[in-house]
Amino acid sequence: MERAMTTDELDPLIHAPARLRIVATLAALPDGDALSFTRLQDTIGLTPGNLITHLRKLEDAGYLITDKTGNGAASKTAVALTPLGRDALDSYTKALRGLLDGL
Amino acid sequence: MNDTQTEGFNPQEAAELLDQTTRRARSQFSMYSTLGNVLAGVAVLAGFGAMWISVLGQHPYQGPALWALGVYILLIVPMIVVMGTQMKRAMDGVSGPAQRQTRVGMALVGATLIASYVFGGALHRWGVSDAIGNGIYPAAGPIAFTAMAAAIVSAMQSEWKRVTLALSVVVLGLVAAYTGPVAVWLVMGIGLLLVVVANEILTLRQLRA
Repeated sequence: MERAMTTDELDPLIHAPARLRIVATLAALPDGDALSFTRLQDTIGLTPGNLITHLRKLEDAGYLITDKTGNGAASKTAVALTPLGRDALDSYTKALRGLLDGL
Repeated sequence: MNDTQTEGFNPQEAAELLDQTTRRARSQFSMYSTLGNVLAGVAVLAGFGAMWISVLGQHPYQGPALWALGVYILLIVPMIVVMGTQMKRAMDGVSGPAQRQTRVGMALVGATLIASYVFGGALHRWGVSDAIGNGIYPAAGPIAFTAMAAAIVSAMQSEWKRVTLALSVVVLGLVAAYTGPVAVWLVMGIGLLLVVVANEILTLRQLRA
């Protein structure tokens, strides 16, 4: 019997184009390394406001951490995936493969 | 579909986006550059080849001619520029423990390269023969010492592919040194080209995995 293609098994926090790109980009860095907000924005191609919204959702879930240094115009924000975020992406990838294999 | 929309974002599209984003990010954060690797291959083969041609038939042995050194420098400069640009691009905006380790490792390897040339100067100063001072040592010594430092640094970072490549350069330098002051240039040129090709194959395989 053919299995219905459902996204219920996929983590809804990751299963959105922008957040998937954010998590996949950060996962390409070695464990513990962080990416500056500016570089992440250049890589993903989102507006700053849009990116901040998605980063907040992922940070609230504990999938990533942001570290802000400095004040005012000179401030810099670095974003890194947490071990929980890396595990969540691994689980998401497995669930995705499972869904596609079952088709 | 916009970036926040999950409705209609099916697993097939998600898998494609994940694959595409991962490949792109790996490529952007990688120090590897195909152009840099091709230029490295040309530089080692043509540069060391020019040195070898210039010392052929020398009796007594004096060392590579200035024109050969010029060819080598002309070939190596664009390679350094391309590789340096790629490294800067890969490291831009990235911070953290792995990044710090990479920077320290690169500094140690660079210091070893400089130290090995300074040591070569001491050999000249104290009257070592031209066969060693202008042949065996400059052709094989600095590269072998630097590769040994790179192997140690890579082992500390558990980068076993790079350890293997670096150790193969050390072995190449040792073997080439035994071939004499003329053949050492040719053996190093061909051997380093093979290492560059192996690096290209292994890196591409890793990036596509």
